Amino acid sequence: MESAIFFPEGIPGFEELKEFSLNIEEDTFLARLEATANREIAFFLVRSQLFFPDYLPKVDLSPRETEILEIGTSDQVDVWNIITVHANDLVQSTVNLRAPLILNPRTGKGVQLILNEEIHSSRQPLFPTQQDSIATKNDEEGAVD
Amino acid sequence: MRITNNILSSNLLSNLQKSSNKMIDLQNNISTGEAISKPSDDPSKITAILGLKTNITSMEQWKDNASQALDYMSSVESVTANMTSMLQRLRGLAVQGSNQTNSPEDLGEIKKEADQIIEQLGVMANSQVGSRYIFSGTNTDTAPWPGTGLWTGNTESLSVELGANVSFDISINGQQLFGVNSATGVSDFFTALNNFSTALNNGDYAAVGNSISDLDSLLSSFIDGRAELGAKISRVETINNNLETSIINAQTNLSNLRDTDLAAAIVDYNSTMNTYRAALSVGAQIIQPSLVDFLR
Repeated sequence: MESAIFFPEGIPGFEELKEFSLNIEEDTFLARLEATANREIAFFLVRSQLFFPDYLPKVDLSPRETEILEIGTSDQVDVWNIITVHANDLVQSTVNLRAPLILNPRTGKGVQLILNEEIHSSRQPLFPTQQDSIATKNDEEGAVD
Repeated sequence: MRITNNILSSNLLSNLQKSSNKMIDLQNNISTGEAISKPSDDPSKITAILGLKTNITSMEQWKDNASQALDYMSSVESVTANMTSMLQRLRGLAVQGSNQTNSPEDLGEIKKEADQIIEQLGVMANSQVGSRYIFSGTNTDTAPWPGTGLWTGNTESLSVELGANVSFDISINGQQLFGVNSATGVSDFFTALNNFSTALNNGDYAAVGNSISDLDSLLSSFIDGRAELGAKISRVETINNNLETSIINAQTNLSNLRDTDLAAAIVDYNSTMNTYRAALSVGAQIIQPSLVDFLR
C-alpha cells in the first residue's frame, strides 16, 4: 500500500525534502519511506509498539505538532520509528525511539517528533540480546513462584 | 516435577533465542560487507554517499560545539546560582543588622560573616571555566575585575557555530549582571557590597537598612541573568537533540545506501520478525495465568 506523505518541515538532516512516499508492507509492521525527489533517500520504518508495548503512551504531541499534522478531533495518528539496519548483523539493528515519525493518514501530513526525555534511546536494539533475556529471566525468578 | 511458570518462561525464552539465532543465519546469506566499495561500482550512489558523509561530518562538529556550549553555560549557571544564594544570605544579614535591638557586638559578628561572603563574591566575580573568564565578554583571557574595582570586560557576544549559518551567543552579559556604568567602569555590585560593609562597620542601622534594597536590585539582576542563561541552555539542548536526530537520520540513510538492498532486507525482516512475533504471542498466552488468576 503506497501513500504520499508531506513533511512540511522535512525531517532533521534532510530539511529540503518534503515529499515522501510511504510503502506499508501488507500484513506486516514494516514500511519504507522514500523521498519522492530522490529515491536514494529512504528509510526503513517499524511500528515500535509491537516491540515496546509501553512506548506509545509516552509519545506526547505538542500543540505545534498537532497543528503541523492538522489533527482533528477524530483523527488517529500513525506512529513509526526509523530502523538503522545493520546489514552485517541484522539482529544488531537499532531503532530510534527518541524521534518517532508521526503521520496523520487523513491529511497526509507528517512530522518527525523529537522527544526530549532521556528515557528513550536513539539506538535501542530491536531484539533483546542474550544478556537482556537472562536479566528478564532473573527478574521473574522471584515473582512467579 | 512441578511445572512452574518459571520453567514455561525459560522454555519460551530459549525458543525466542532460537528464532533470533535463525536471524543471524539469515542475514549471513544476504550480504558480506559493503555493497559499494569503490566509486566505479555505482557512480550515482557514490555522489550521494560522499554528500551524506560531508553532511554528517559537519553535523558532528556542530553537535560537539553544542555539547561544549552546554558544558560552558551550565558551569556559568552554577557560578551565578552560587552567587545568587550568597547575595540572598547577605540580604538576610542586612535585615537582621538593620534591627536597632542589635548591640554593637552583634553587628560586629554580622560584619564578620558579611565580609567573608563579600570577599568570596569578589573572587567569584573573576570566575573561570577552564581558562576562560566568564564575566569578561570576549576578553576571556583577562580578569574582568583586576583589583581596581573597575570592569575590564566587554559586551561582545561569544559565538559558537551550531549549524550552517547558525551562530549562537553563549556569553552572559557582565555589564548587565554587575550593573556596570559603561563610561566609568564602576559597578552597582561592588558599590553596594562596599556600602553594606561600611554601614555595618559604622554601626549605622539606617545605612544597613538601605542596603536591603541595594541587595534586592543586585539579586534581581542576577535572577534576570540566570533566566536568560536558562533560556539559552534550553535552546541549545533543543538544537543538540535536533542535531542528534539529523545525524542518526543521515547515518541510517548512509548505511541503507551503502550496505543494504532495502527490498531484500524487508523480505528478510518480515520472515524473521513474524517468527519472532509468533513466538512472543504464543509465549504471552502461556505465561498469562499467574498466581493472581487463582486468587479470584
